[in-house]
Amino acid sequence: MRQAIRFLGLTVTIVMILIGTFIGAAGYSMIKTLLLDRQISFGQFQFDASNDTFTLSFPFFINNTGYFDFSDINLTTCIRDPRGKPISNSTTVIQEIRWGQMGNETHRISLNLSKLISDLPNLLVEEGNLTMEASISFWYAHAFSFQLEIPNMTVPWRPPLHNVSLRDVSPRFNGTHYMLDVALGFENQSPFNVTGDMRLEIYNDREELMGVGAMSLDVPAGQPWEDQVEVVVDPSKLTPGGAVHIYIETPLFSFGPRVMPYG
Amino acid sequence: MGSDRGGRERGLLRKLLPRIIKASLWGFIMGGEALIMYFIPGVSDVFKSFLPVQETSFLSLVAVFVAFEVAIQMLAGTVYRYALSITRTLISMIFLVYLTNGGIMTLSFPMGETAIRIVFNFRTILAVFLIFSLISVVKNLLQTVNFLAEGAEKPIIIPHKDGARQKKARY
Repeated sequence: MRQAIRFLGLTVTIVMILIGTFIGAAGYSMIKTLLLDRQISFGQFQFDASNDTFTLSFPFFINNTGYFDFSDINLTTCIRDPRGKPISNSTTVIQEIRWGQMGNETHRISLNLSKLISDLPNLLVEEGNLTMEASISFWYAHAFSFQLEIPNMTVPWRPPLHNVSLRDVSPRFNGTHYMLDVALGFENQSPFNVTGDMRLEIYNDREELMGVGAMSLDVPAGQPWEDQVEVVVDPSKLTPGGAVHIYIETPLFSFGPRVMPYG
Repeated sequence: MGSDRGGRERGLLRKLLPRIIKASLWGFIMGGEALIMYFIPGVSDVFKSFLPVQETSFLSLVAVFVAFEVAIQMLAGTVYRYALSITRTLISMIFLVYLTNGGIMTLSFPMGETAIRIVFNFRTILAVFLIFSLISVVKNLLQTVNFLAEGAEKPIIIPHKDGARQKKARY
């Protein structure tokens, strides 16, 4: 009996000491990696637009300078539109970074612009706020798991057609045709280029189509744009006032008709 | 008569004093260090934010621990110390699960308009702790049985009327 008691006592003591040592070593190792050596970092943000999808990507690195493994590293982001509806969920997983090794992966956040804009067309012309929830979780030493959550981060939305407006509409006769010179402009505040075609339909004040004009657009990110479109109009329908219907087609989005009265 | 009584009191005091000192010392070790941590300015705020329970619950837990340790040390050499040890282990297991929210702790730090939330999950380690606490309970039970068995095997010495001779009896 005494031997059994002694054995149990010794086992409990040794295991408790081992667990205590393990917790201390793992805690120190993780603090060393993340706080003292600062071996977790994020790279430059990159924007990419293709088809109707806008992608924001950034690399992240973990250099495991500790004495235990990182496993199941999971970076998740969720972006919500101004109404609170989720529009993008992205997850990046690194299975394992063993001690002394380095791991890196690129996290990609994809936004389906055509879907977003079909739901909220005002986002093409008005500033707004999206909200982002981010979380990073990992297991350390295969024993502890950590999850860091940052809820409700505000991400300002920069519209590609900010302040799209009709600057001037002036009629003229070029000797053969009656024309309307339509000056318009906008500011591309978005992080992607606006490349596509613009079509204008000019209606008189009786809502009869007078003429159609078109031009191609190539507005770099963050740049204002202003230009003039010459539209040949039917002189029999010409009235002092009317409305311009603007249509813009790009691989990322379709805009219009935006009706702008003049005169 | 009076000197007899004084001698008995001195003997009792000589017996009790080391136990009281030992009990106080162990009581301080078992609860004092937690209380010192708890009341260090700066550290206490972080310490409190970790606790998913009220401040009073933590203090009452420490008080229970100290009381148990003092009682165990005072009752050394009796069967009650084992009973108290088992009770203390079981209470500490329940409190540990309760205090650590089942091994999942949550911390929140304000950051501008939002707040960062850190969730720390150590259920595996807690499970190992609980298993070995149960083994500790088993050990205490065996110690109790062993203590009682040894007590039963000891010879009972019946003092003789005149005190000159003593009769030995074995049951």
